[in-house]
Amino acid sequence: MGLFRSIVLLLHFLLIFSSPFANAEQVTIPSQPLAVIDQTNTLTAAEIQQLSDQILTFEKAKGSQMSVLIVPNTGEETIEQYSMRVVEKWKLGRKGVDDGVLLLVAKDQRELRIEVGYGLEGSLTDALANRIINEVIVPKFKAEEFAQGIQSGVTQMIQVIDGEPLPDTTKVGLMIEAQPYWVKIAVLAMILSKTLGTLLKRITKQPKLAAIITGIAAFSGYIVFWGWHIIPAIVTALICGVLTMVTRGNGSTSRHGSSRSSSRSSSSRSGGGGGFGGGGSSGRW
Amino acid sequence: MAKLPHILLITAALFLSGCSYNDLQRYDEQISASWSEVLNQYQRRADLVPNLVKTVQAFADHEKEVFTQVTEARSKVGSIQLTPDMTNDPQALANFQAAQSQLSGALSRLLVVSENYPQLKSDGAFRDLQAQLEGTENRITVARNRYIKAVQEYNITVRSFPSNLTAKMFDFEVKPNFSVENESTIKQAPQVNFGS
Repeated sequence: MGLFRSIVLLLHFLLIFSSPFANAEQVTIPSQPLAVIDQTNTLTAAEIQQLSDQILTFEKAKGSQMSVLIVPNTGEETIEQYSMRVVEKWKLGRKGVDDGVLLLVAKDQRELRIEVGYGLEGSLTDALANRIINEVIVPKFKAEEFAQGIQSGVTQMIQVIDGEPLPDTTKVGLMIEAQPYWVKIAVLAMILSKTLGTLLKRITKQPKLAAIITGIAAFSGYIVFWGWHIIPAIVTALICGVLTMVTRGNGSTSRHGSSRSSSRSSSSRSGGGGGFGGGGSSGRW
Repeated sequence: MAKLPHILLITAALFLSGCSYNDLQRYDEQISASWSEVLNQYQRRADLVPNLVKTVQAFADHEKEVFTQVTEARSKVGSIQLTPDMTNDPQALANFQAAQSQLSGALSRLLVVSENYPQLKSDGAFRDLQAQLEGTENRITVARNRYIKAVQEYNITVRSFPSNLTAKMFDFEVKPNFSVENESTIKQAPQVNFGS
């Protein structure tokens, strides 16, 4: 009782000191990096669906993640600042490959930007992005043909990226790296509690001790695999410890963590962990 | 006696997260990495200058003063010694910043001048160079912001309790940061005057 209470108190203590300070005056970023997000009702549902299909098909085939985001304005930030915040939050593109692209349109301020991930800067150069904006998209935007403008821009970008050799889409290791925290916690906790936990329970015949040791192993394991993230590591340790205490040591080995398929419905999508460095181009119409 | 393992566990956990020795190391490394990136992007900009000058000169040869300014600013930037200790020396950092913002000013004047030459403005090669320059300026801004954040993270750890104790023990000192005043002048768009 005393031990668990202390740990809970400690967790609270740590959480308080790690809470980020949000700047309340910035335009909020949509929570999910869907293929197409239109906050201005410019595109019809059919147009959104068509664009989304095109983008997601390309992602499945090539791996590169593209997103189109249409906002009314970028608030007190420049379009470059807002764009950077979006891609840093969404992390479009695969981790290590950094093949993400964002097409951002700030409709009321008549500005747009193509934000290019590190890995695509070689093919979708700043100059090329600028040309796509000024020669393909802006003329259509000037004629108020927004759907066609975005469509042509996306098609052009896909063509350019398609020409670039990128790693193929079936790397399982990349998939696990890119999963959100809770997947990593669940997988590690379950595997360790089933294997190490049951073994220790059988050897020591003391569930609590086995739980503590397995918890510490889970904690260190998390840090070794995924870096110094103390709080997820502690959570993993706790879950692992609890699972070790609770599961019967009869050696049943039902597999839980099946590999996640990369095709998701368009109502949920997560960024692959790709990085951006500020490359790309902006334009206005 | 049953309390002892509890106490040990909590002390261990507190020590691990509270002493922050590893955090300090990690933040220090992050500073080096982000500093390299800043230097990289500034270098990229400096590399664009000769081509830019040549392209503008093809259309606006008699604007000699602007070309001299840009070329001089670029060689000044190139002549700064990039020592690994730069991130710890506030004077070296300030000098570096000053030289870079001189180049920024000269470049912005060059672009303003080019606004007066419609043939230059519509030249494809010039447009591409302009796009590259804007892209590089944006990359510089991003790299600087990441460097500033890295230094802030490090400085906060060095100054907060209880990690400041660890910092003192292992000689981790507060590091200088980019000053903000230059940011505001760089961000200002050049005034385009078609009258004069």
